[in-house]
Amino acid sequence: MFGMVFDAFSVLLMPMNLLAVAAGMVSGIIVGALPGLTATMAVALLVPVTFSINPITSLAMLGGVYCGGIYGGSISSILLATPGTPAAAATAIDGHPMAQNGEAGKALGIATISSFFGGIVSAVALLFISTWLVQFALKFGPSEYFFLAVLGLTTIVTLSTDSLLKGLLSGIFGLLIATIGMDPISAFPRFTFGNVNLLSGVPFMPAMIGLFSVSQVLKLIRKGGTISNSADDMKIGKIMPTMKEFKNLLPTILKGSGMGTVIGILPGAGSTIASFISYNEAKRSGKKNDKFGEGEPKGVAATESANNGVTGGSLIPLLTLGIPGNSVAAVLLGGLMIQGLIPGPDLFTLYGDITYAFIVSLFISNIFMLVIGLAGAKYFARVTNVSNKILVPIILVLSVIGSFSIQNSVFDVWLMFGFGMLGFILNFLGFSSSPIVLALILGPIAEEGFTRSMVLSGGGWGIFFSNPISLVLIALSVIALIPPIVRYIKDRKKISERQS
Amino acid sequence: MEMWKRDRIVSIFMICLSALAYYGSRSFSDMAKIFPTYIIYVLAALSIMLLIKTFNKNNYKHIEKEVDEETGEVKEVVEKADVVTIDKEGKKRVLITIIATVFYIYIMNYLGFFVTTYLFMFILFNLLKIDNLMVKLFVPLFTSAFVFLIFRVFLTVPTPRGIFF
Repeated sequence: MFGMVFDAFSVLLMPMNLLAVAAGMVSGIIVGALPGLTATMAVALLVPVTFSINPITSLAMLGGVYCGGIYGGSISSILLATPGTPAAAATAIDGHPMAQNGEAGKALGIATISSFFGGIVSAVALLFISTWLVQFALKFGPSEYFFLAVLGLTTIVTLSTDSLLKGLLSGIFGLLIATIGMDPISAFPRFTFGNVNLLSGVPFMPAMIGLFSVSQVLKLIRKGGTISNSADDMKIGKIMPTMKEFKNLLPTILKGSGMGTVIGILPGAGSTIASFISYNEAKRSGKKNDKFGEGEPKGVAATESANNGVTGGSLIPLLTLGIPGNSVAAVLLGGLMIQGLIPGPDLFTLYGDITYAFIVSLFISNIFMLVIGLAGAKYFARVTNVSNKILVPIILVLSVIGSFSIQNSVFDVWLMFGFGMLGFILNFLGFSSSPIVLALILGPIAEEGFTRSMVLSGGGWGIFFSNPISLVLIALSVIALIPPIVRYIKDRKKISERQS
Repeated sequence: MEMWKRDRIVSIFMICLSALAYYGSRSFSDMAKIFPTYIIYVLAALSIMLLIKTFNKNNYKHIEKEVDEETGEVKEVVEKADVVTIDKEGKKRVLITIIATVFYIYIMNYLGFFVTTYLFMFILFNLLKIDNLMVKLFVPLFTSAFVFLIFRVFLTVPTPRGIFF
């Protein structure tokens, strides 16, 4: 194997392949940064282009697009609080407050470095321990997916900084919206009001663009001024974190990368879930001085390392079993098959030179991402000094065309706008939109896992506790719930003591 | 508007929503009914809890750390919850933006994406009182060009068509 890896490196260092990786990376970053365009879309649209190019170069380019696409979302997420991809939704929680505090450069720097680590750790896992990790993924059945979704939903509790009750309310409201459409088992249309466009449920991307981009845009225009609250260039701040800051962040980054890799292996669980769970864990294990939700660097490090950790992780089941780990991997499956590579054991033996070249290209993509990201951060961050009155119409235009382009549907654009109004009003009334987005993703996974388990077990509850993995996930969910609830009870006690 | 007023609005809205959803779900098939029914119950329960909370003013205080200006001590003080003030200028800007966007999405299908986009941005810049003429003329142009390059040329994704471009 080491022989093949070495050969792969030497092939990839050829100028044409390096150029392909760089071009893919830059395209990926641009597409990822624009709200409405996702990494999946970018890869999907470039796969046909690779038909006429040789396998190694085309896969290297697609690898670059993938890594760049997931990373690019963080740029608009941090600067504008409008995530370019769903994977970056959690990055806005601490990333944008950092930008508002004048630390946009640092936030971007941390996002770049964390994404780099996430990508490299997952690429290492892909290279060395794929077969071992995939055995773990095979043990996941419907009840395990249900509990994974529940674990993801417990992050809602952590996200509700102001009021636990309101956070839960947002989440449950989101779950209700997620039931719109045909149900996963019997395909009965629920709450569709006869509208054909709602049969497959509320389309996720327009809803997310509306809830984050449009509602944020309305907030910005209401405030006026600029995002960084000053037109002073100095307010961008330094980009590279100091050695001490970096050491402080390293545990969070490594944990996030690991979590992203593992969650990426599970088919159906992707970067968005990974980033929220990683954020939750970082907040739970954080210290008292941490200011999560107000611009805590660990918040950005946790989410970005996790979502890029999914890149390599999602390729593990793809290359070993032919089962894609997420939607991008599914599209890459098409890319592989166009080149005549059928996933399975042959991929690492007969076509080993191509496969290892692809894996090694991920390392190179991440290095390019680090360089391009750090170099460009200073310029990207300037956006926070532009007046909101100019930014808002631009973001609105991008949101509109972004929502339209997913399904070529004007209904999606109206839906996006509707969710934007909903998000704005809810924010004004003191509710956060993140729980709704989480619920929209996790609701269907939870319901499918739950009903499928019930069908499999014939109505018995035992199936939910039969697998040790389920028990671990339940334990993790409970552990995640304890600190916020304890804090809530403590606060209430303190207040009633002061009153008397 | 005080927090308790806002909470009351939301809790009443959510209770009504649960009732409507429950009524709607009665026609679902057995399999389809399971999950939504649990969700509706929990939604109703949480909304009622929130409504009850709004009747007790003590619930709207929380601990804030305040630094005493003279001694520099950090004290913990019981504060009342935030009040959001509705700023008139801001409210006008939001309303203008919303109405402009509705027109934009509607007209996009008649006049074509790029023409409507240019008009939308130009008009909105004027309504939002941007003075710089160069910005008003060229930013919409650059934005349209950018969208054209990325979406139509690079990704070959269609844009809404109308009479014009």
